[in-house]
Amino acid sequence: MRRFHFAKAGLVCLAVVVALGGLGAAYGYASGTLRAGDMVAMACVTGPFTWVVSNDDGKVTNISPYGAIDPGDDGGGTNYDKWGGQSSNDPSEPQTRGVVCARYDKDVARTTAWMSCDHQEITVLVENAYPCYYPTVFFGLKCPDSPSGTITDIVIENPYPDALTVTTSGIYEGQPISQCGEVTGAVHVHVEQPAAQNAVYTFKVSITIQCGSTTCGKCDTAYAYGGKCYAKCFLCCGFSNWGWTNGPLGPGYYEFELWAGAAGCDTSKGTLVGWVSVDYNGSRAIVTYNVYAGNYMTATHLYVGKNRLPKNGNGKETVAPGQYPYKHDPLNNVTTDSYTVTGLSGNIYVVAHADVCWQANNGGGSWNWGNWGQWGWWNWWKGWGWNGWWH
Amino acid sequence: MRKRNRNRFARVGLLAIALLVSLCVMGVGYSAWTETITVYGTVETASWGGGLSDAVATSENITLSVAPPDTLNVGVSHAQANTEYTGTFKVNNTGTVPIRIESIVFALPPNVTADISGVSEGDQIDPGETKSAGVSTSTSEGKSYDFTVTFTFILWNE
Repeated sequence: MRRFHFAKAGLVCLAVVVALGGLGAAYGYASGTLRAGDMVAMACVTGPFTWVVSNDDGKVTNISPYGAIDPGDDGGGTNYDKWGGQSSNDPSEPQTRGVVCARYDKDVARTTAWMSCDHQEITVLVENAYPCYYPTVFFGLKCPDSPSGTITDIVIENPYPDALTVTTSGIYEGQPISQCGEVTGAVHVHVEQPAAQNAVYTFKVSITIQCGSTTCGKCDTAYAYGGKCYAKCFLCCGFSNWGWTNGPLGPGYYEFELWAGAAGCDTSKGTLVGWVSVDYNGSRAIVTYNVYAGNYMTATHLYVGKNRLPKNGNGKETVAPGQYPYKHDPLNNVTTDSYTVTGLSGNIYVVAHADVCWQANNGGGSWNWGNWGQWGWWNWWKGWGWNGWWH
Repeated sequence: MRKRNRNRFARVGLLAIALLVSLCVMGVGYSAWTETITVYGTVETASWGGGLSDAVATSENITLSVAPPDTLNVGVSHAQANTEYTGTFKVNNTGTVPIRIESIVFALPPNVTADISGVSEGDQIDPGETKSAGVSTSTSEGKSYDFTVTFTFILWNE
């Protein structure tokens, strides 16, 4: 007698429905993606362009983590100053990000640049230009809410090649946009000798990017959690910030979970994003941060010592990561980071902090890969009755 | 009999998994997107150039006029030998970019000398700036004569 397992069949149907739902949602997302012609109906969202900086708008702009983008754009005009603080001595050569370029001793022309509200467009306005003026506009771009992508095409439309030369640098066709990372590029405009007076020239640079489908998720502060045996919440020590100090630790090897966004030291509110190992031999401790695949760290701060918490300059206990004695800040989206601390003795405490970014489909709230462990999916599948299919 | 049922359900299960995987792959494929972003540029050029103006005679027998924009016409009537005749004029930057006087060229008849004071080749004139200049001329023989002085201006960075 054949037995039909409605529960199992239902599971199949559920899987199909979920898959179709995912397909629909994904397609809907793609259809809703901003395109050049769709902007009218779109609200302001964060598009691929992340920032834009002109090197002749009178101010040196700092962008994290690069620092000064356009050093030399100091608002000065040595022997002639048409624009005052709104512009600087005019650049006479293309500028490389973070490197001073040659400039005339006069502030005659000015270049300003700005992004559209939706970060889909950059507008560059060059005023009072003259032959040999050579401004540069820097920009950053990334795949919004997406971990990776590629620059597939760069097209420069310059209808006035006799009057202008327009070039790009820092970007190229086929260039990967990696791991929720940012690509920085520049547009250089050179006004040529045949340029006419009182003329208006235009140009257009189109950059086509192809982005993946998964999302970058979020970034948050994370702390090593030594479990009930070793971890003590900062909140219990009179601080308002969450986090844990772990100890006392005698010589040995320890692995602690790395939790992000666990407000109130409540791991059910957080995301398990990696782990921290402590290898302590009684005088030297090697502390290593690791995050799960797809996650990355942008900074780490560490305290290792005989006291439960580090102390600030006034000798008071502190939990502010910036005051920890060991720090790697910033880090370039790394997946592992290590410290070796020497001169230790006796039992120690470890406070390990990291700024971590993780992908939405790689953890989030109580739903995270890390919780599943090496065989978590298998156990989950079994729990739904995988074995029963063959009954 | 029981074994046949197991195989059938196994096949159904595998089919469901294959369907699930293929649909997910389709979903990923659809949701990868391409987008073109744009940098729009507008370059407004300045005006550049210099000119002469306000030519005035400051001695007898001499007349001055400007042939716009850059030529000074000088006429001396019934000049006495070795007598200096003078006039003044202004040199202006008529644009919005600093300029430089590249050259000052005299077109003189024989036995006539002339000189410009107040400005000289290489001088820079900023936008809106006016420099006062003078012209003086003499001849070694009594006669009437005309000559021109032509200024050439260039951008300061040329």
